[in-house]
Amino acid sequence: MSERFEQSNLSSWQLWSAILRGVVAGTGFVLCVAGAVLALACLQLRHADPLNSPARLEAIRAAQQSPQNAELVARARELDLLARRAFFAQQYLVRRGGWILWIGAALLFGALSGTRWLQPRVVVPGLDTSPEERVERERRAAQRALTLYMSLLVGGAVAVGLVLRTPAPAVSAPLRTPSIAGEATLAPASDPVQSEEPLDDLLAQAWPAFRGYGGRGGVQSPAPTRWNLETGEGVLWKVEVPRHAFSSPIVWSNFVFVTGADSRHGAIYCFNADSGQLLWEHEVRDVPGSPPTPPKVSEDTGLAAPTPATDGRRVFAVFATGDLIACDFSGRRRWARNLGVPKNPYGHASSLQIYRGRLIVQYDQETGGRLLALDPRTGQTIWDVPRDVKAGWSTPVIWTAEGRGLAAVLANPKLIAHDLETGRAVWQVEHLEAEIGTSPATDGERVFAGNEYARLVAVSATDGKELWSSDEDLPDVASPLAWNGCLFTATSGGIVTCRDVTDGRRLWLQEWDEGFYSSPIAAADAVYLIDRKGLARVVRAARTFEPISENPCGEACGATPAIAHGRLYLRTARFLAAITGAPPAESASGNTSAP
Amino acid sequence: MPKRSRIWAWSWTLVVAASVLVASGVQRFPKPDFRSGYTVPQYTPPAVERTAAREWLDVGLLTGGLVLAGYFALARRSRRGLWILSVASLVWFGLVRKGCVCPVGSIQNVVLGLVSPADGIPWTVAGIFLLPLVAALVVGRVFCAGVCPLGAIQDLVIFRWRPLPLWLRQFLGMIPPTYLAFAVANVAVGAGFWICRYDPFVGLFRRSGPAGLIALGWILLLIGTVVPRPYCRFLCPYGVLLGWCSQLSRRHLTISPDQCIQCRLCEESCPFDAIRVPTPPHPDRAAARRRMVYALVLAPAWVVLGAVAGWAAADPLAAKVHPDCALAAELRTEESTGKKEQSWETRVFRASGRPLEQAEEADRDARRRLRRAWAWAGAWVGGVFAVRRIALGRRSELADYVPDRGQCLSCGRCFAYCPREYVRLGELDGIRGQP
Repeated sequence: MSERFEQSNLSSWQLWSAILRGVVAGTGFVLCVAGAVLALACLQLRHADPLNSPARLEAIRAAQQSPQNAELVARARELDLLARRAFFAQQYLVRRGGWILWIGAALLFGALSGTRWLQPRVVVPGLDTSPEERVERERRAAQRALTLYMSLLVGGAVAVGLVLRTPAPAVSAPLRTPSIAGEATLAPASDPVQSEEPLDDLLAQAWPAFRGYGGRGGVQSPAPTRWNLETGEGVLWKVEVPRHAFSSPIVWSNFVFVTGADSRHGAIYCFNADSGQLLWEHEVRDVPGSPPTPPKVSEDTGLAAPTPATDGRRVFAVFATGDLIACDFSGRRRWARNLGVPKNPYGHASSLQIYRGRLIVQYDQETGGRLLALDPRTGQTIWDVPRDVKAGWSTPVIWTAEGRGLAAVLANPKLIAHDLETGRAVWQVEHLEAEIGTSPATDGERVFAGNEYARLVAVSATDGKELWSSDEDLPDVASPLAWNGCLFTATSGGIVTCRDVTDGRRLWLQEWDEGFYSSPIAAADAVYLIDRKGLARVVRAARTFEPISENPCGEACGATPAIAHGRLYLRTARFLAAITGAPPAESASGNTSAP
Repeated sequence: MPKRSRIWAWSWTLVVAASVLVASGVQRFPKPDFRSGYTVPQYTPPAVERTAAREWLDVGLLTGGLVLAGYFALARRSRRGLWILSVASLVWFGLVRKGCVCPVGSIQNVVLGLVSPADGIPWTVAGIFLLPLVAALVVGRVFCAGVCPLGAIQDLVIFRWRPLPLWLRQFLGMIPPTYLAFAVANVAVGAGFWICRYDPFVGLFRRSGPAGLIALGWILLLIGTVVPRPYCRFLCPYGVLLGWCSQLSRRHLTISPDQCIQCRLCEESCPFDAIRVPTPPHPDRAAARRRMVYALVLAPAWVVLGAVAGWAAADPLAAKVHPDCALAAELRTEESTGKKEQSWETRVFRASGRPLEQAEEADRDARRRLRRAWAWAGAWVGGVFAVRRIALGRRSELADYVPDRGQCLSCGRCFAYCPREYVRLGELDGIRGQP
């Protein structure tokens, strides 16, 4: 080949120059074609709307109308697949085309640079006849240019300030918190500190603490009885909670609050009740007096076993470190204090309660246990009652008698009723020696308390007079539930007992393989019992055993659900879910009616 | 227009247009829309693949690149070595690491760490920020020459250039300090990382990004064929810091390996107009001194004017700069028009149940901080302007052709134009290389 070029008197640089020119022309042509094709493809992509193509929509509509017709369903799926495949194929083409453009541009640059290299630019400096004047002229021009820049900058900024300046109007529309359909709007107050009235009437409609308002354990309105967390049937949403905990969810308006903790820090999480979206997370740090390292707690308890509480304006949470924290509904810390690291062999687990402008904290430990009422606005102590009891994991239950609020507080070895106004003990029941993990229950007239290895007692809510007691099939983690004239208990061994509240007579007993940590709760005439493996059984709150449904939750469950606005909020080992319920159709898959 | 220029122009136009369309087209496909009550699963971000080891590897490679660039620029005087190094850096830091091992952007991390100590500054980020500056203090802007992927991609497309007049260079040269000042101010008030947000080349490295930025990247490359490295010279905020350090550098690249023979062959060799030519003494020293005094007296006034300008512009532009102000503005619009939840931001805000007054309070607070920060930024720009103006009035006599230490990118293009270089290489008789 070289001979041929020698024969045609082409020097090697001319040959290379010709080659490079050819590359330039060829690459330019390819770029033009590729660019045109891609531009066309991109324009088609911009206007492509495969999901709304009439044929696909029609097929889907037909399939939805006749879901039993396999042919129609297959046709809809086929069209859907075709539309998506066509779109993504075109997108793939565009992506590959982008690479072609890149490579083409690189080749073009390379070839053009090569032609420049083969035809070097000859620098012939001109004769500078009067360098002084030239330099001076250039510098003056540069100074003027600099001044022009600064003038433009300053002038432009001031002009923008004068022309575009508008007084910022106030966002003065009334506050509206998104409400759940069919429910009263429970808007948080805008100013959380100044002159606030207790929202207990509204709190009674929500689920503001462990086992609901006052710890009663139920609501009068019905809640879903059929769902399947494994298949998603009847499930509005299901999200993973970033940090694990055994605490239970609480609900206020359209917020769902849970707590969690890792090995070092606790946190409060706020989820949107409609969508499950995590709205904010507040990590508990820098609390004055907090220990540098968290106390050792058992794995079954963790650092965040206590359930949080809300007063409708703030959410409160306490952790095994003794850190007690209050955040407003935007996740901003309002106050925090450390109550002292509790001397508790398993870890602090007593949940918070709220009652008429008082945050009730049961803080039992091996020595120096206390019951405190704090001001929710500031965290300051209203009263602090020392308790001569041992460490415990129980949560107070609250009711009203003769116009005053009372709290039954259980620990080894006493059940004591306190006046919530003053903290003074009203009555007490003794001889309840055991490691107390359960909380008392009340139906307003009676208070029920008991634990395995102790006994189960029913006492008058007014004077504490013992009405009856029992020592059979006693719970040790799940708290009893007093509902519809029955007292339901669920043991760690899997025995659920229904007793008559008046005399303690056993009405029915059912034994299952798996035990219960989650406390029974009720909605209307249904009782919810969730075993440790995560099988939720719904039974009739009646004097005879009447199963309603069995609903798989997909994984272990130790938390007690929350019920609000006709929904069930359930926390499993990893997830938080909102359940609206599946239709009671017989074909509802995954739900197996109990025999 | 010559034929080759026509091909050139058409090719470029098509590349830019197609890229913009590609960038905007591939992002358009909506998420699958399930209307059967199906809940779209919550987005789970993929596991973070960056590990500390990989970050330290990047710091190590950056250090190695700087050492090599200094070696090629000063010891070997090898333009080829610098070119190969810059291509390698473009491949690794640009295409492989997708432009995110970036001292330019690290300015913001450092500022954030300084104003908000709780966020801290990771050691690797501190290294990425400081190493090029330290190198510039020792051997000049070798980072720009051989290690910066943003510079490398622009360097590759340089085709034909003409020297820019001094006034234009000075005018455009004020943009980087302005950009730096306001970017730092924005980080300090929590308005985001603007340097990264408006990086014109990161979209090209990732082959994905906002269509406007992709177009800007290609346009800058197109301009860069005739105005070399426009981003480095007239936009790069990190270049301001590098220029200052390079002014003070202990050693620096030289055009001639030994002595300048005043041949003037290098006069137009620098694509970046970074060669200082011999300057004659000022013809009227008294007038020059007088102008200097005026400039010195006026300097504080420019600082104040800059501060006023920054303060004045902050409030009207706040809604475009700060997210809190933007949210409040959107909420106001929604409240006045009655059309709620027009954007994701307002939707999330309303879903949170927070009172609107809270958005208003955040807006007021952000505006107050933005006004203060922009006033400081404006004052700083005024100060830079005053210093540059004074420097222009001051003329130091210069006998030889030397690199302008602040502007020289240490690319080594001028080596090939110096006859003494060929003498050093033994390709030219020493006698013929004498003046």
